[in-house]
Amino acid sequence: MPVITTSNIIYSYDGKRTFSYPDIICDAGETLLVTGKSGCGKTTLLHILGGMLNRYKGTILINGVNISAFINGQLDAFRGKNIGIVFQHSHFIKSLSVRDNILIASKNNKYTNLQQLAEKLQIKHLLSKPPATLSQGEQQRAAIARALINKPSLLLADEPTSSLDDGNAAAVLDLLQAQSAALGSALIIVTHDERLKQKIANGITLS
Amino acid sequence: MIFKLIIRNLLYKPLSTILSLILLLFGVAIISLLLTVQQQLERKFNTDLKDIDLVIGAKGSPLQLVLSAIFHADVPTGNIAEEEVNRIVHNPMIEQAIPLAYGDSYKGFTILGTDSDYVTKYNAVLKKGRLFNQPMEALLGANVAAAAHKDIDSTFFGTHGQSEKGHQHKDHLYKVVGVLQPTGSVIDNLVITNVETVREIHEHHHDEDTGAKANDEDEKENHKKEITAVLIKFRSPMGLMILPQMINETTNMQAASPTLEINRLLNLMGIGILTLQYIAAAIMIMAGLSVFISLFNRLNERRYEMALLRSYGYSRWQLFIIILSEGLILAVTGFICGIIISRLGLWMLNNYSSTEYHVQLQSLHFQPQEMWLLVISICIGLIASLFPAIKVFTLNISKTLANE
Repeated sequence: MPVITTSNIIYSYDGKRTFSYPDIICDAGETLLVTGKSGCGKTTLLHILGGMLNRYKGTILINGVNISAFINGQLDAFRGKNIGIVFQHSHFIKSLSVRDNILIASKNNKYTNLQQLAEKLQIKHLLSKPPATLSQGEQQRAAIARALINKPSLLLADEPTSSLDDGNAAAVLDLLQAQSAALGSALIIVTHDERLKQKIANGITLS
Repeated sequence: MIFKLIIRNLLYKPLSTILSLILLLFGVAIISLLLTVQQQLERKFNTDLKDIDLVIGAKGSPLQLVLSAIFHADVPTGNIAEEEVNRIVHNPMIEQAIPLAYGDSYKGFTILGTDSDYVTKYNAVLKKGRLFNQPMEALLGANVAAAAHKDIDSTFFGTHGQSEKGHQHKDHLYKVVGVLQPTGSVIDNLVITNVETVREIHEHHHDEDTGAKANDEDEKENHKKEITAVLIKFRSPMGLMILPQMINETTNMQAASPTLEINRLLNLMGIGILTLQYIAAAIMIMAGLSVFISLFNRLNERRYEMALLRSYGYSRWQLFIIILSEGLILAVTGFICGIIISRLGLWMLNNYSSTEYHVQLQSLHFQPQEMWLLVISICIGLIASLFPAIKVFTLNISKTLANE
């Protein structure tokens, strides 16, 4: 069974702009690249798939559950358990350390899980630091750890490499793919970063 | 983790948090201190009034008469003739009349000449020894015995007036025959002897002052017949309606109702206390505004953080509660700090009043009215954080995350 299946997703911004999206199917351990020009609705699609926008037409099944029928509270709970999101800008809660920023996203505050994850993402030595003191690459790795802490079945990444240099972009992509494959998660990357097209074959382009 | 987040958020911008906290704690401390002092003074007055319906003394200020005769917190208005007093106290409307004669002190504690009914009136129980029954025998209140380190069979000289540095009656040696247990009333701060002792000493002192000879029998006789005041208890309230007016209009004495005078005093104090309470309430409202401004300003900086929390699966209600909790924690912390400051203030006031006036205030008791102060503080915290919490509740996460 695919992790995520969408059909006939249409979203209208204030009744003026309407985005009509192609159907998506993504299996566990698979990576799907969603590309397109600026303003074509890439981030909107990611927010719809992540349950952060709910006034759309169409159906989204995640692990066989139709999240389109959920109301706000149900969507929040479902998202917390099943979906991890990496945002374009690795924002953190300034008053908390890197460790607490990751743990606050965890449903069970799984400390042991954090240690393993931090080791794999090479941020173990940064856990007690304030996020603002980290470099961009370190921040992005910490953001990936935060998205993975709940072992989500669906991992969404919004422009995860667009602000990184080639070296860091390749490292972040490798990490995302390796960790999602290790967890058996479906990975959907939304980007306009042409560098990723050369590395991920499975993709759709929005117009 | 949520609690940690709330605390870290409050500490992240410590200056605005501290400002809100200081305003809250000052408001709470002032109101609490005023409530406690007022309540304790009322309790003290009620304890010392002890069914005393009327005080008869020399003409002058009725409040001064009440304060001096019952609370020993002022100088007497003068002396009255015992003969004139006797004409009044045999009135059938009077159930009990306790004579008082005073003017001397020992280490700042009033030496009171009276009879054993006075001791009974304040339900005082002997800790050691016995009651006085001879001139120059003294019974010590609990605080006097403790402060002066005196026990039965010890002796001392009285001092003329209330000052410790006054003239000592060196030829009149008091002997302690009993020590009372603490009662929490004015009797704890008194040296009690019989009326004859006070008369004898004053007669002697008068002779020393004037140089008059002791054989001036007429003057001596007049002196013997004077006392300072009488505490009256009526058989029925009717006595209070008839006798005071009669005494004030037809004798050289004055009659003062302690209840009336103390109520007048409390009302006068009440105006000042009420004004201070209004000022403190205004400070608390300012504290509420400070909490609101602090939370609201920080909210604008934290919109993305709130949207992030939503993306982790936190519900609108959880975020709503986080913001409300921040206001609530500030309010409760302000209340607790305010109560601590109030108790510190009361403790300092107690040190001062017990040294200067021998009046003890109980410092640590939680007053029932302070529960209302806690409720008001919580309401201020909740109201101040309600609008920011509603803004978080209605936050559009998609728009917030996309705009960043």
